[in-house]
Amino acid sequence: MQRYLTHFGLLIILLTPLVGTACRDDAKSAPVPATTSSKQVRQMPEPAEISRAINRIISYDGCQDLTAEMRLSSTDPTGRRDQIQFRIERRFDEGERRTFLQVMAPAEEADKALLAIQANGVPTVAFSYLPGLRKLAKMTSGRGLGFRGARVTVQELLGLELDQYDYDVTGMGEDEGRPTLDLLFAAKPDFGLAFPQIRATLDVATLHPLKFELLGAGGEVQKRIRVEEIEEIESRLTLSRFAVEDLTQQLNLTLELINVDYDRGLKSNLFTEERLKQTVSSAAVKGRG
Amino acid sequence: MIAAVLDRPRLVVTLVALITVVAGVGLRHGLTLDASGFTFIGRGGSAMEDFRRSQRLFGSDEYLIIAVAEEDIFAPATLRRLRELHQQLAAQDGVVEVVSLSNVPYARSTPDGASLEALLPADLDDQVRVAEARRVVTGDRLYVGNVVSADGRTAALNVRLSAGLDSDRRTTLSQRICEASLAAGFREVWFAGDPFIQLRAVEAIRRDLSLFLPLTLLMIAGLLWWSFRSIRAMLIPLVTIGIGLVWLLGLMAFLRAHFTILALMLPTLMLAIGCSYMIHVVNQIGITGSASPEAPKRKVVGEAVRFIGLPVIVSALTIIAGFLSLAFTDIPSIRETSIYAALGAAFTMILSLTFLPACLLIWPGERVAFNVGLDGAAVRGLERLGRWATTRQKPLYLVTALIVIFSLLGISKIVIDIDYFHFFKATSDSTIGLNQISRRLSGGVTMSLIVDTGRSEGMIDPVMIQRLAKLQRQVEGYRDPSGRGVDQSLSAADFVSHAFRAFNNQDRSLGDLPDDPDRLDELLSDRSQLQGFLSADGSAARILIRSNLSGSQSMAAAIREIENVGRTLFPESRVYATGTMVLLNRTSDGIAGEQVFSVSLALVTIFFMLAILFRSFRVGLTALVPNLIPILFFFGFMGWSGIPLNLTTSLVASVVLGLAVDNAVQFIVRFRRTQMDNETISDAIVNSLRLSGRPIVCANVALAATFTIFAASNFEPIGSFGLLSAVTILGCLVEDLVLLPARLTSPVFKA
Repeated sequence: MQRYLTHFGLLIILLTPLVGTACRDDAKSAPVPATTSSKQVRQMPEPAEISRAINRIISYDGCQDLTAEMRLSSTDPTGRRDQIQFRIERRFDEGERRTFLQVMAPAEEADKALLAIQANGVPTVAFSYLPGLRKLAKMTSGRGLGFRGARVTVQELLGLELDQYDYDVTGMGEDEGRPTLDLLFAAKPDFGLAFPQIRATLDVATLHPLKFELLGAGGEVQKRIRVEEIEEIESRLTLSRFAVEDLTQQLNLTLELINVDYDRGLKSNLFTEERLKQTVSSAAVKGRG
Repeated sequence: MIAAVLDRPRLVVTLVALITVVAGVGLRHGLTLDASGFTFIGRGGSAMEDFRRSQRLFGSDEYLIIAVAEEDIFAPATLRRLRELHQQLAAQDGVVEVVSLSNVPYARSTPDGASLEALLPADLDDQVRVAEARRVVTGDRLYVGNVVSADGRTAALNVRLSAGLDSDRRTTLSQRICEASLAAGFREVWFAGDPFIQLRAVEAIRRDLSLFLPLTLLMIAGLLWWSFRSIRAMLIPLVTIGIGLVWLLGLMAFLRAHFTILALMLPTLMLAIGCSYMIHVVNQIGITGSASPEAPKRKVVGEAVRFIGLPVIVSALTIIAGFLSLAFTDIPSIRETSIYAALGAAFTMILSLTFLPACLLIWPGERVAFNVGLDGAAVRGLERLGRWATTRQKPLYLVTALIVIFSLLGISKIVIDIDYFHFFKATSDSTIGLNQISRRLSGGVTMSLIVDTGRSEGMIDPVMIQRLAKLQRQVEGYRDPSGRGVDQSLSAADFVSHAFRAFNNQDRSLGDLPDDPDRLDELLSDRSQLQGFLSADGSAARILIRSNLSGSQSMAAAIREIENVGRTLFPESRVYATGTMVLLNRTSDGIAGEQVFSVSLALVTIFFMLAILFRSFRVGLTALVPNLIPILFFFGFMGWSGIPLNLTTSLVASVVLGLAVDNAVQFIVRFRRTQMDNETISDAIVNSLRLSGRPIVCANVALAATFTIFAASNFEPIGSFGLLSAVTILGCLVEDLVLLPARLTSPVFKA
């Protein structure tokens, strides 16, 4: 279970920025096709076009807020299947994004929650609440969070924070018959990020992300994430299933979107330290009860 | 076989050339140099299992420690350089992590909790934050000695290398790390840790090889020239020995054998052993040629090889037995080196009886004759020595008895001690680096103390964490009689304490560690920060112990004491010390037993060989005894002089015994032959000394001289091995020239 929880964070990252991302085209609840039916584009897209595609991922394509529930399924090496559920709330204001993340199930993990504040041009600040100590823990993006002993970084929980990176187009390639565009994101210095580099692969035809590779300090691939399914939710193209290969823990996981709502008008008082304390405290009391 | 050599010398030379080409092809990529401490550690046993388990639970503990010194480490320019170096090292392929002042985490107290962040601010010109960092880091046991010195003048970068690197990649990476560190512009830089020792060891192996080989060749060439005054008698043996060496190294390359610190001795050893065979063969050809100056060379060579073949083969077998007696050890480096040395001895023996005669046969000219110095001063001196030895038996036996008593008394004083960190000379930068890091930061000699509860979350209990802290305090109090001891220790308890104090706004009245399990659980919520100290399932904890202890005796005492303290505090858990140093120390425990076993095995095997050669147990014993005395004296001398029995000195007895028995074999074979032509035993002995004494002296001088070359090694143990072996070989020579003739006057030999 703890590993599911760990990887949940990782999947959220992907999901969170990608949910509601841009892609208002014609696809409806379909697996990502192996070949692009409409157009087999092989030319390098214009830099401006690439920049727009990246910005769509980073800026959530103008989405005001979102809520989502996610289910993380996995089978461990012994064949035992398990599942964990999370709820995420995000609000996008001018120059700032706030995220509230809470474990919903299993019950013994429900006292885990995180509040993160991402402001443009400064390192991200995140908070968790320790009900036993009755203290807030403030942390940066590179900080790991423990879910029953397993680890996920704040950065992963917040969707990789691609806006804290500079990127370069490293070339074109092919993925399952599709022409692809390869990008390398390099972390800006002093932002305390967990992954110094991220390799991204976009479909040249649609500029949708196909996969990400998260690299460690030595340049080694630590995690591989593949977008497996895209569907249309509330007129927004939603990346609804991901496969994650965690090379450091040698695990394969699947993350599915159970429910996504866009632009529900989430209030700013949902994203406060006070709510974090109350949520965690009451969950902890329930847990003890 | 001899007939084949005599009939088809060109075919023999061609075959040897072909094999040499094949071996040379095997060598085209060279040999992998492996200076890892693990080459001295047995792969089996519970200690190794413990080590592997601790690696699985806590990851590799292979750190390259870089210490940099400046007037003030916290000066912004210095901190910037440190950060740049940190980033540069972290970006190297094969580096798992770098821990330094630049990235150590810090829990800063805030009004409603704590902020978990990097200790150093992003802006290194922020004087307030840098001053805070200085205050925190020089006062918290989490940092002092690990990343910075208490006086703020030395900082450490602890670079953890991937456990999956092969020897070449590890060496290249360590080299890059060292170069980058030296180029970073710090006033002083020192290095320590196993990867650095391995790097320097690999460099030292290369340097030693480039010194040993030409020196040995030069010495052997000189000796061959002095012995035979013939270009032919110098060149052909040299080429033959060289071919034997190429075969051996080629075979090692084909078998992907690693060239270890001990294997460093192989080439020189092979040259010396080969030289010994060649001297006997060429000498016999010279004697036969002198006896029949007009005989065609085919006849001379044939007769000589037929005479000398058996003693050379038996000598080779005794040498091989000596080496193979070491092949049963659990220590990979010793085992592999001894097996390859035995193979090398076999190669040179075969070549000395095939290739060398074949070359002499195809060498232009009808006759073969060398100066074997039968009328020279050396031979006359040997004859006088023979007469003296056969008439002064009582004083000889008395002196021998005194030597035996002296030696036996000394043996009881032998100390077993391996000092892996002082393999290098005191002036080497690895020794200096270790000393500087130990002095300025904390002990560079590390080990791990594992507390394993055997149950998931067993350590996630306030009582267990408090006991862990208590264990650390007791461990840090350890000092041996010389004043050396544990400098510092680090465990999960230190991290918990650091965070707990931060959340309590540094209010010490609330204690250093939580009493409440929920609080502890929260403080340990991110165990990834503690992966080197707490197992993922919370079942086991590791205490990193940094000490300035040196040598296995001192380490063994410390380990015993520390494990006992741990077992007292955690009676329900398994407590054990582990780590490379601990394993090396455990290796030393087995050395005494293995020494007795290998010497006994060599003795018994060689004795039976001699008994079979001479078809008499008594003659076999007679040949063996004169060589036992110097071996006994060697052990006695070690005991009296305080030279410890270690990984290399433990090889001396078995190796030298195999080599030295060669003298007795050559001498007794000659003696038995000359006995038929002499009326008295005394005359036969003197005549034997006349014919075989000079080559025996030459061969032993060659051996002793080449072993002496080892004294120039960069490795202290190799130097000790060389000198002790050389002295023991000379001791054996004296005994073989004095005691053996005296023993041969026994009635046993009258028949």
